[in-house]
Amino acid sequence: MKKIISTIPTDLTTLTASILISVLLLLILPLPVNGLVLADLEDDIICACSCYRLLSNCDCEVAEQMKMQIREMIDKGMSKREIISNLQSIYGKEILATPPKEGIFTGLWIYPTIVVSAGVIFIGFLLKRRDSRWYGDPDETINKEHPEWVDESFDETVSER
Amino acid sequence: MIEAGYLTIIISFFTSFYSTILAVNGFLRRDPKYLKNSEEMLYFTVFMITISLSILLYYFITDNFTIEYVYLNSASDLPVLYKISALWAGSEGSLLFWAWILSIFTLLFIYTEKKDLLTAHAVIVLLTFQNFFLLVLMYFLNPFKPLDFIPAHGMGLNPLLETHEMIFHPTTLFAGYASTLIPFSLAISGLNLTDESWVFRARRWILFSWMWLTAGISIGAYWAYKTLGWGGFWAWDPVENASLLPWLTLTALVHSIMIQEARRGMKKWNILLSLATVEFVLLGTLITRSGIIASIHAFGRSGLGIPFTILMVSLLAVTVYLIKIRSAFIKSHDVIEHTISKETTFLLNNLLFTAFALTVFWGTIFPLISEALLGYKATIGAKYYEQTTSPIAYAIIALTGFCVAIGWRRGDKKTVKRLLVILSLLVGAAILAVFAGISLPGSAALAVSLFAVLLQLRQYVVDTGTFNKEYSSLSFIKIILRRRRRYSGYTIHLGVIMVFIGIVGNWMYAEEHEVVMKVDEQIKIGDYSFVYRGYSEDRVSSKIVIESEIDVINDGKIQKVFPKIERYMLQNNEIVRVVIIYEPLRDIYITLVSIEGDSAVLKIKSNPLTSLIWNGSLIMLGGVIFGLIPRRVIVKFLDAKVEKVDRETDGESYKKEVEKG
Repeated sequence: MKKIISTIPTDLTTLTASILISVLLLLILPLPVNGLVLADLEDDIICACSCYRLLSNCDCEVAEQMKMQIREMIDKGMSKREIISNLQSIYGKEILATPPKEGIFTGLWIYPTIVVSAGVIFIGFLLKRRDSRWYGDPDETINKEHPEWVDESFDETVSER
Repeated sequence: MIEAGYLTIIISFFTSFYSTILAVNGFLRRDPKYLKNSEEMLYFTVFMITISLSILLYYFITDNFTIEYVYLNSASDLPVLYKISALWAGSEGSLLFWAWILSIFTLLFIYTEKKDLLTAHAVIVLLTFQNFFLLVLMYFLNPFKPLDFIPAHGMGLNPLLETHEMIFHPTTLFAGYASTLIPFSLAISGLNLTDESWVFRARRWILFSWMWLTAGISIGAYWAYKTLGWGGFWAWDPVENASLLPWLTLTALVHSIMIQEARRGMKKWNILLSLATVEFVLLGTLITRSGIIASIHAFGRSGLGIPFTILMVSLLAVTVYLIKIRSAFIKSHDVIEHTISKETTFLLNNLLFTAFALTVFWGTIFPLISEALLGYKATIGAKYYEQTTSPIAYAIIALTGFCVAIGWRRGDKKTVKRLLVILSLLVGAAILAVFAGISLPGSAALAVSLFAVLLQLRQYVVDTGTFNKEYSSLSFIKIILRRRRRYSGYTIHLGVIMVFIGIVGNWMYAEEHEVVMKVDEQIKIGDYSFVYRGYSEDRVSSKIVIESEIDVINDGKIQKVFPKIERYMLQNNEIVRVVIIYEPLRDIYITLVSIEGDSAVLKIKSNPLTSLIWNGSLIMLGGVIFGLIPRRVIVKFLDAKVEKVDRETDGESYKKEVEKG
């Protein structure tokens, strides 16, 4: 056990890098793909009745009609992309709730990775700067209470400036 | 003739403006008399805004539909409780309510703070915000605007808002929004006065604000769960995101401000975080009330866009200008003494919370970018947020364990090694669980949560043992009270972890069954059997209520429940009233979808662990309230002698540390 412990990197920079890699991996992991069913599309399309809910969360007449159309398109053997494109041509482009990972939407998806990566690099830079001072445990902070405006501390503060 | 309520708003504005002039005068002349006069004038302003709010409330209760705002948001047959909550159903009432809360918080700030230049400057900033809100009420959003005609009935309240949660959700959220202005006012004042003590003073106000925001968001989530009828509590709607954003930056600020206290580092960062919090609050109000981004619940549309945009840009410009001219003062010291330290975990914490906030912000405003580039407002749905923020959330929970277990300055290497071994073993177990058929998100959530919970509990025990030696004469309760700041942090962490587990349970493991049941037909789902007994249809004032009767059988016990559909004739709106059967580890969520002939279409959902979200939120609130217990209360309870020794010891240790540094 001791041996295992000694082989584990203790440097928190390595820990930071591990967290970053985990974040990146989780972000780029592909979603599981099954045979196309209504449920695969319900969470990607919003109802066209202006309620702004996902199809899976809406039971209004418009939502039911859209679900029926999707079922028909699945039965016709259309792909997910084709079904979405078809629905967008009927109800407008806004009905797509999950933007594609292409075109200008690429920026949307890779943005969190860029932010985290930039942050990790910056923290790595901060970790190398060690000219720090210790002023005390923040848990020990004591707030004093002063009841009046006309008190000595005010004048003292004034004269200090 | 000028309307009485509107007159009180005008008077409020002028008294508030005069109060500001007096405060500025006192500040510039360094004369406390002017400041005292300004404070007295503020009392009068609060009184006038209270009168204004009371008049509006009176109009709602007495159905005065000659006032446009009352006409648009109320109806004669509305229960009194909802007539009261209708006060903040639209932009005008909300802004008046916000101005009222801000004025009270400003008074509370003056009452509790040390009366010095920093407080005087911060009060000027707070009064400026107050003047802005009152000015907007006067020129853009007059809640007392009369109608040209006398209507017999009001248009009614949005049926979705006719719930008890809507009495508390907006009020707590507005309190949270208004209180974020206090840490910002202190930050900007500290910056302008080159007075670093703002960080010590802002801490409790950050927690105060965090408490209100947490309460507001939690109640809002519970309202969505109970009212919207789809079994979820968070849809990543722009309005929901807008309330989450300031909470995220405020949470980062709670941690980073401790680094400034301990190290005099992250000075610029803390000012920027307090600015970002206020900017997100204003953005939230803008989104909720202007309708610039499509949302499920952008309830009131109004002309808030221009004044709020001006305010947001002005705040940014002033802060950046002050940072520039005070750059020598806010030059930070280095933060790190050793890589393995609490400081490092706090840096990572800030990175994760900021990344979380920026990701949510990016998704929220992306429709505007797509409109500019593609000509339409793209919808950014839940999948984007869940996929991008989940890894960050998992990392935050794991980090919660590290940050309590690693000490300030120089942590113990062996401790970190042990922590990494424990985390690795738990993650390994989670991966093995995947092979056993449990999904990765669920098992990973359980692993990181278990890791974090164990370390919080361990730290309770370790710290109590250490403090017991330090304060041998104090009882256990007195030790906890003396060190409330630390214990409150651990408790809040426990609450956060509970909420996290609840969210994973609700999002990942909910099971939904849509069933069509004939009268007296029985259907078995899991441990439960459901029997549909028929329905009734009644007209209750301006709505038609379709109420189904369901027998829910579990362990031989029969419980009658009545899920409903309500059709609101005035608003031409239909909403469902769900039934939730609460169990300790899951909720049974029953929705009546429709009645078709002699059959009922029902959605029956099992929502595991959802109650942890509400219980975790309560623990978070309990933790923060405990941490906010005023020092004077604690001193009364603690032995005065011990307190005196304690202060002297603190002073000595502080001097020693400075000498060392």
